[in-house]
Amino acid sequence: MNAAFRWNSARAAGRTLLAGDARGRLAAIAGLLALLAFIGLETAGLEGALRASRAALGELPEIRPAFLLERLLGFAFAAALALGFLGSLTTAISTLFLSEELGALCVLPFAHRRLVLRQASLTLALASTPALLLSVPALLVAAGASSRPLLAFAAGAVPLAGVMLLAGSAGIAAALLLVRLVPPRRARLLAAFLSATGLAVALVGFRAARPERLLDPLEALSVVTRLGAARPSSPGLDPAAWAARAATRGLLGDAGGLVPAAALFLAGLAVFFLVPATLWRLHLHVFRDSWAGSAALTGRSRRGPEARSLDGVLLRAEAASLLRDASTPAQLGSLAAVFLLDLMNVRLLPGTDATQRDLVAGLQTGLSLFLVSALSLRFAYPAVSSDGRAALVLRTLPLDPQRQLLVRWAVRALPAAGVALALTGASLLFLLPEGTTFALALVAALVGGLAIPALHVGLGALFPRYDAPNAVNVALSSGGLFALVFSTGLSLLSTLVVSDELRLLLGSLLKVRLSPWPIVLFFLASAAAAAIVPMTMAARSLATRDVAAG
Amino acid sequence: MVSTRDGTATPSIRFDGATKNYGQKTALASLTLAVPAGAVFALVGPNGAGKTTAIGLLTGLLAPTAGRTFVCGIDVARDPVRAKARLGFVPDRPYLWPKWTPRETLRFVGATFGGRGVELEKRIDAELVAFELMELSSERNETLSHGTRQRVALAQAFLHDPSVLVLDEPMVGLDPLAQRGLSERLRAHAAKGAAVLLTTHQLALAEEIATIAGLLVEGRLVARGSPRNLETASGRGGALSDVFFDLAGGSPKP
Repeated sequence: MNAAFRWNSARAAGRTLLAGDARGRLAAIAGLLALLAFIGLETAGLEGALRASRAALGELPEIRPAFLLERLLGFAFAAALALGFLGSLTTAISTLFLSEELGALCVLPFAHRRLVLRQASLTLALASTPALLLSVPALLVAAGASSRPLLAFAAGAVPLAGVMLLAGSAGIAAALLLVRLVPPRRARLLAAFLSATGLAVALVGFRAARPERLLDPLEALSVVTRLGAARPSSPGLDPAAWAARAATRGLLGDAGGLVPAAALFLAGLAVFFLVPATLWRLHLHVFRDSWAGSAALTGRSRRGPEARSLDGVLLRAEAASLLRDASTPAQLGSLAAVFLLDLMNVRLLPGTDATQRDLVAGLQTGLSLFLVSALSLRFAYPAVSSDGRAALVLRTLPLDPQRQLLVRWAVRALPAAGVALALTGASLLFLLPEGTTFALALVAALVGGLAIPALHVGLGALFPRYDAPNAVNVALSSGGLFALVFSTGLSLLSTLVVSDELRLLLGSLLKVRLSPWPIVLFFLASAAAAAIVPMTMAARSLATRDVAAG
Repeated sequence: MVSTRDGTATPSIRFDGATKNYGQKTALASLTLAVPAGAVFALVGPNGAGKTTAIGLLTGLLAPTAGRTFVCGIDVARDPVRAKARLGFVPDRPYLWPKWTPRETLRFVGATFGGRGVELEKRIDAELVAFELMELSSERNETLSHGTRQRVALAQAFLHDPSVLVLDEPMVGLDPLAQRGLSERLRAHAAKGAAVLLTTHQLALAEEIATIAGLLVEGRLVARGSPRNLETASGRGGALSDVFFDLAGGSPKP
């Protein structure tokens, strides 16, 4: 790509960040502040952990800091490797096959190998971002604590870059092979599902390893001793282990650690350039097939059910839009993992303490509704915007917007209420709180599960973004974040509805006596208002507001 | 013309001083225009003249700053659902629900116009055949080419046999065969008593199929009449292409 192309791309990115409308700028500033807050929290946490571990290790002579550090870094690099592979697998299918600019770039007079290299670089940059966000503050903390800061930073950063290059290259190669077997859109679906399942399995596995043991000093000592007393085995061909060993040596002041770090980086760089150099013909072949195949017949001829009623047609159409979203299966996989994790947590609670069971029942109800809030942000808030420019056609049809909004809500609220009831109900079956708490928790889950999607559908319709590139972009707008704040408030209120202990705690803080029934009534009224007011305003707005006609 | 109860004829499409301002900018200035049933009206003009804004006001996509628009005598702003029930619309680009198939799209649109069951399926099949979409009817819209999506957009507009058909640049993306087929279909639809309003940049097409034409320049209707003899406000006349180049910007651009 030439300099003009790079300059144009950079300017376009800058315009997106800085020159959008007030709403867009607000979202960008909120995102930047959230990022800074995250980096600040991570830095403070790591510095605290470093101080504590230095003090503790001074009293544990049998533990060798180098061994402990190498093992911990080994876990971190392995996680970065897995995250990089899964991220680049999903991203590469989009950048190498589904990106709209490919059609324009393919006809320009430069070698196809360079196009593949450019898209691979873009993939690597996008897929590495989460790992870099997590690791750069850690590297800075480590460098700050070291007697040779530059050496320490380089010793961490260089092998990390090598690991990301290797993971990215593997993900890109896997994406090319996957699209050789299945069409790009289906491959993206499959890759997203694999990524989500991989992350879910990792999360559940981490939880199953019972990290809470580290809160018990004896158990923690046993774990730390196992990790820090014996020398880690030879890295062999494991790049994460190589990276960990090289980084450990560098962080402990041994400049010789930079040699294996540089070797790993150069190996990663070589593999990264090797992928486009060897697989560009495969990409060209598969890309041509998929490009031509985008208009080719699949040979299917499914008529589907006849239209019997308008509501039936609206329901089926809405369900089709929702279920055919490429990320739905992946996100349902993540949801299942969260569900499992939550139940694993609840099972660890002591079953005899009635106070604790009451408290956890309240928190679990709030957590269920917070989960519904997050799901609603992703699936309900963008409901109207995801019509895209087809909204122009929709607006010219003789269809009452209120009726269609209700259908959009129903398609999302029924599963949301199901999720809230299932999660709350399963927790209650483990906790077995007293009858009133049990009943109130179920009522709160049902009411919240129905109201929160209505709040999101309504607010999303009040601030539609028909030109947004995808649903996630709509969800992460300032309107979406506003809806999330509102629904999180409702989730928090539900904890007070359910738990006597939380009401007592809040009452003592506020120095008032909080009776349960006024809070129940307040919750029900808030839920009704949150559901009805935005939906009614949105129906009126959709019927009368201008839709840009081109 | 649509006959009213007192026996007078009502134009199928009527703009009555329709005006649209965006802040200080006037996109359409007091457009007054009537299109009778059975007519094909071509609205032409340079880019930014206000053609799409006029269509937006007629279809209910935009609310007028002043004035009113009527479909078969029904005020679009006051009774939008009844007005839209008589309307078929093709936007300037084929905006379709990406995750649906052409058949699902037509079924959805047909159901909103009251179509049901076997009868609706027959009409869907007829439009799929007419626009040569039958073999693609189970593909997702997002995988279709631009031209194919344009044919789906046209099929959905014709599906309920509308009294008023509004098309914004309908020929874009169609091959010559499809363009000829659409021209014939539009003439036949008008011959059955419907009113057709279309915008186009193809002056030859407007001269070929339109029975009436209007020239919009900077939001104002500056000429109207037969495409072969368009009359300007000052009383001058001429063929559509001559008047266009005369009033809309001088000599033809390369």
